[in-house]
Amino acid sequence: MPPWAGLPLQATLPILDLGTLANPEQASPLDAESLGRLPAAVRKSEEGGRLQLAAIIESSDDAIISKTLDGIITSWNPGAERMFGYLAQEMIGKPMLILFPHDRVNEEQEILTRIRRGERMEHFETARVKKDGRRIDVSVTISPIKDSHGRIVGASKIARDISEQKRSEQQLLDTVREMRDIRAALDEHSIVAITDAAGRITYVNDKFCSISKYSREELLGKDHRIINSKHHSKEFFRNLWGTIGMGGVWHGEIKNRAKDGSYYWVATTIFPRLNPAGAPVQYISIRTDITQRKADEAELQRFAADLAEKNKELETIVYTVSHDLRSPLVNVQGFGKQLNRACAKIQAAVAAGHDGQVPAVDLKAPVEVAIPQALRFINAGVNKMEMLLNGLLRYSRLGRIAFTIQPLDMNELISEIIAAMRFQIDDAKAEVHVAPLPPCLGDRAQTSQAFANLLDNAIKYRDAARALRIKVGGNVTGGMAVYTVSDNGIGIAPSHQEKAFEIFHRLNPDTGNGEGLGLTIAQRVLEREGGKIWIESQEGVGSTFFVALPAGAAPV
Amino acid sequence: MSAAPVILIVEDDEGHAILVRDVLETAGLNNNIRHFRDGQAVLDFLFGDGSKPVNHQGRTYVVLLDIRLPKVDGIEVLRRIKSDGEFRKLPVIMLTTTDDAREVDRCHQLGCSVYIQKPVDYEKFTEAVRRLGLFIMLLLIPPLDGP
Repeated sequence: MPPWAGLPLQATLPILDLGTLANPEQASPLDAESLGRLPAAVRKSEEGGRLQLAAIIESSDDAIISKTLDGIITSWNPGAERMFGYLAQEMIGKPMLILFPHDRVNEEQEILTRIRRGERMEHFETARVKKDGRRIDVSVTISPIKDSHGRIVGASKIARDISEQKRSEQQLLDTVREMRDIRAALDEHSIVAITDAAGRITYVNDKFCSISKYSREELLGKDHRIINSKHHSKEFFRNLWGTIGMGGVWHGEIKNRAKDGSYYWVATTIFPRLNPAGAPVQYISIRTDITQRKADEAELQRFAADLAEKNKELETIVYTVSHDLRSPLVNVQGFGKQLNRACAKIQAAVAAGHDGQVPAVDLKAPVEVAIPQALRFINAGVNKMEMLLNGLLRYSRLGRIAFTIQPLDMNELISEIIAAMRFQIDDAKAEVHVAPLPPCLGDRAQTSQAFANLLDNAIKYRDAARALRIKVGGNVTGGMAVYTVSDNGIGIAPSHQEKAFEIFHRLNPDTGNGEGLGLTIAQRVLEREGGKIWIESQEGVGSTFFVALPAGAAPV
Repeated sequence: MSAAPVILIVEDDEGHAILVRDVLETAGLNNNIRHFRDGQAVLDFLFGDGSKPVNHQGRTYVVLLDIRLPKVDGIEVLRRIKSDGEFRKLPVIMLTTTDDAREVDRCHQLGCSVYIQKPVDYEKFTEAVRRLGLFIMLLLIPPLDGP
């Protein structure tokens, strides 16, 4: 038999409205003796009901306790034993106050006062102390117990340990607070937007508004096309949507356009939130402004290209010094020695001559052949070195000239060149035809030099067998103005064409007096202007030089 | 033993060609010497310029080849000679002013026989070419087959 089995059940079960059995003193104890006095059928049903109630009370996890109006405990179920750690025999007859923590002892007076007034307190949350001194959170429902005359004689109390629930609530609160702080930190650092599954913006933070220069009202409900810069391909966005649409996280760098037309770059992470079926319901995008980094990268690339060009220039110069400059030196030294030898021969002849009479035959070879030849090569060598040094200086100075890139009226520029070369053109009996030319962007003086060089070459390498005809034309393709300078001169064999732009390379050293630098410099100039030059030529038919420069509006 | 090889000097600098020829002759070589002023000229001589058939049957040549040449440079001439079934037998001596390690390496890769830098100093130049002449005299070169 459980220790509480003899106690009045109704006292612990006020909600069952067993009012007549409410008073523990007056209520007949449901023992075998009183049961025996009842008619058998009633007794049986009475007994069944009581046993059922007893089982409910015994098995309840809630503490079910009754007390007198003075706060003395009169019943104590196993739930109470488990919850508070006291056995029923330890507690029955003791004041309820034992369970009250120090800071809540006043509660008992209040409770008893209200009970006397017949009030019921439902789900009153408070704290109590266990036998081992630990404090627990409880939710208590306290009801008055009345006797058969309706007098309040005590109180029933059902207590539920809500410590766990309280902890969960606290944890939930902590989590919510943590999430709020994390979000605040995120908002402090990043550009954040949330869209629905269709990509419509449902949330933007302040940073998003500030970088895009759109107000929140302008953004909500729109999709991200509002800030599309058109920098990226359709393929780029197809890939993005393909990834996040399948529930994947997308990382990448995007160039966007703000409301005022300015552009900004963001490093972007798009995180899809999925429903239980795995389909995206929201997309959270977190972005970082990398506009400055992008600008720095571009700057760095420019520096690297610049450096590469300087390196190439240096290599060219070193190679040239190691080969081209040495070559004439060999002649100067070699033919210098030949001069010495010729002198020695003359001296020997003079020494051998009697009375100042030197035989002409001994002088003939040195004076007529050796000395003039030696002097010719020494002079040529010195001239060549001077020319090479000048050329090298011109070439290397080109890297330091500041270019002023501006719109160029090429019709005007070419006719100026032709006017300046009029004498040469007439002298060569050349015919020059210039078609209307599109404008471009370039440095005026340097571009003019490059084209003058092409015309000069056309005249220099004309075919003596036919009258020279030069044609200058141009059109715009793919943002570049492409000009052609064609001639019907001697042409360049395909195998020699790539050499044409090499420094100090001369295809025909016997023709004219060039230094082998014109095309090299023209190529450097055009590359620095963001253009290029190439050649199409057929030996014996003629050459066409192509010059591509960034297309530009005609200058005003 | 076959006749002394014809020395093909491929050299755009006429002065160098004269100096080399002088030294070789002074060293006692009496080989025939032919001078070509650019890479195309020597290629035309060897492979023909298409105007008439060429026949080198029974001939032997030594090629003295400069690198920096008009029209076709020495590297290309070397490549053409060494990739030809017949002409690859010919000793090719690179005789050039540059000592650029990459150039030296490239020429050896392409199969040049010897790489000599032209010394700027005349005494050294003379000595180098003289020894080269003596070296050429010692070469045993298989004669070329006909076309």
